[in-house]
Amino acid sequence: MTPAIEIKQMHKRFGAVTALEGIDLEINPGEFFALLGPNGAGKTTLIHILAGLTLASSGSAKVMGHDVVTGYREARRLLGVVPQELVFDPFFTVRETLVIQSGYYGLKKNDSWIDEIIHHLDLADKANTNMRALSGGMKRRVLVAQALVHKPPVIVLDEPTAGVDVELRQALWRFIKQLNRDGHTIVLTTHYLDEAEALCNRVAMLKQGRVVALDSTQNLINSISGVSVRLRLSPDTLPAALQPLLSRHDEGYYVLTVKEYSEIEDVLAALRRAQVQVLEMQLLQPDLEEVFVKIMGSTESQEMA
Amino acid sequence: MTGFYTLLHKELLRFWKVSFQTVLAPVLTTLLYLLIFSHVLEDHVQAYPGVAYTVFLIPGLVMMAVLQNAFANSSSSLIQSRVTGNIVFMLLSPLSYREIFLAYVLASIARGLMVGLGVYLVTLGFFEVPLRSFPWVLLFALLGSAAGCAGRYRRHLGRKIRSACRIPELHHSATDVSVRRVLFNPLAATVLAKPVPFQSVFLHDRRVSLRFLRRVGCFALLQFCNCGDMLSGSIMADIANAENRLQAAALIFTFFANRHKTDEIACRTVFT
Repeated sequence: MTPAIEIKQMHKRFGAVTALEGIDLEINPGEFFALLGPNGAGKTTLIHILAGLTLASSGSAKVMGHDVVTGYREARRLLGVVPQELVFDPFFTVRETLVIQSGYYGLKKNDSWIDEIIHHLDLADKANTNMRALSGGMKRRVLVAQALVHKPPVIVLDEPTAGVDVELRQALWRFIKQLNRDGHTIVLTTHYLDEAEALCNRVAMLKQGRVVALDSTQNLINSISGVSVRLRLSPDTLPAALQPLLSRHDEGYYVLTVKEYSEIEDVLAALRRAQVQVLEMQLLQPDLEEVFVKIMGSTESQEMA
Repeated sequence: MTGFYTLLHKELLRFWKVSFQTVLAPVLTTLLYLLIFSHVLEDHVQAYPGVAYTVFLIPGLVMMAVLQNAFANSSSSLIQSRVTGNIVFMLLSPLSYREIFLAYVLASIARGLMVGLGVYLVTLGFFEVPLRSFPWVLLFALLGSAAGCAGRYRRHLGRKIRSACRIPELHHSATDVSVRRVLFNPLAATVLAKPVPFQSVFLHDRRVSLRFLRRVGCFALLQFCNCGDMLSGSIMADIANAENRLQAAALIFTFFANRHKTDEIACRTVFT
């Protein structure tokens, strides 16, 4: 089976800055894939190389088996990219923009699909409004629509929800999920890790141009061992017996980490013995954010050493 | 081919949607030059025996309008979309580089021809300007505007995305049409003061073909050598008109040696 996206030993340097340092990545058709990483990790550079907006210093990238440099026409026909920056052409209306974009892909009679996209992205009453007159969120929707005019089998969304309200976010994800169910491969970058956790089956984490984690979302979350419990105590002191379990202490809250749920009972017993009253208690489920923080932190300490 | 036609159509719409600024305004400006120059020089200058100065002037102004607008379009459209970033929509598409290049060049030529035609049609209402060889006129206008804007596009397209924000270029295109440029622009001066080929074509001069081709050739060459702004036209015109090869070589040397100073040189040639 041809992978939807295949990246091999990708390097990219901008002068003295190295943006990508040997990325190897394979994304299968039909996957909902998240590309995560802090600012400047190389996510957008990677997407730009896939889209043919930037040339890699070395290495190769293929979209459905078509090289993005030597077979750029085929590769681009199979790829839909939602760029990160809000860009628009101020001379045209929403519908004109979409008709022109279809035309670039050689599609003449594309009106029914354009209508469908407009409907799904809730752009119907703005269809004949000039791009200049749209709000930021609306412009973002048009960007998504433009990436979908040619029904690309591989869709790349570069922070599509930055600066977008809750309603659109939900509508957008409903539509994207629908497309994923219909067989489209989705690659997503975002800083909202809860979104990535809810939507994506597989996650790659990038840091300073390297892939530092690549696994299914569930495996990554499972990799966090133990249960965390957050407590507010009165008086505000942690008994000495519980000190070894303390993992974080901020603003009157103590976060203790134990191996099993059953050990929480022991924690409470120790508190009772020390005559410390529990004012608040919260169980912290491990989530992708925790994994992210942990992985980013651990690679940092490795570098230190 | 649909992709190519769409891009061409979009580029045509881009200036047509603001045709007041991109077509009508240049036509009016050119007509103002005609008014002023013909008023001042009509009784003093005669370029061809038996041809009124105004009638001599009109073809030059038409050509100037064609060149300037083809140039201005090449600068404004590509650079504008690079600066605003919406060029990505075109770059993300499967359009080939050849298609992109051709569509942009053709749209620029179209704007140049439209303005030139506008100027010519308006003047026809007042003067009798004979058009003896339409194919030559068309060929000259097409090649002239194509050589100019093609060079520009080639340079812009060849450049990397991240060096897109070349504001000076925008500034150039904005001032291209300014009075300063036209009055001090020796290309315009040449067009106005000498019997250059375009006039010859219009007025059906036999000497036309060789000099015309040489001039367009030089023009295209220099454009492709990365010197494509209007002011370089001064030396370009001189090179085309050089009496012998030595003089031409010297001028070419001056041109490259002083490329960044073309502005000053241009002003000096006019004043001295």
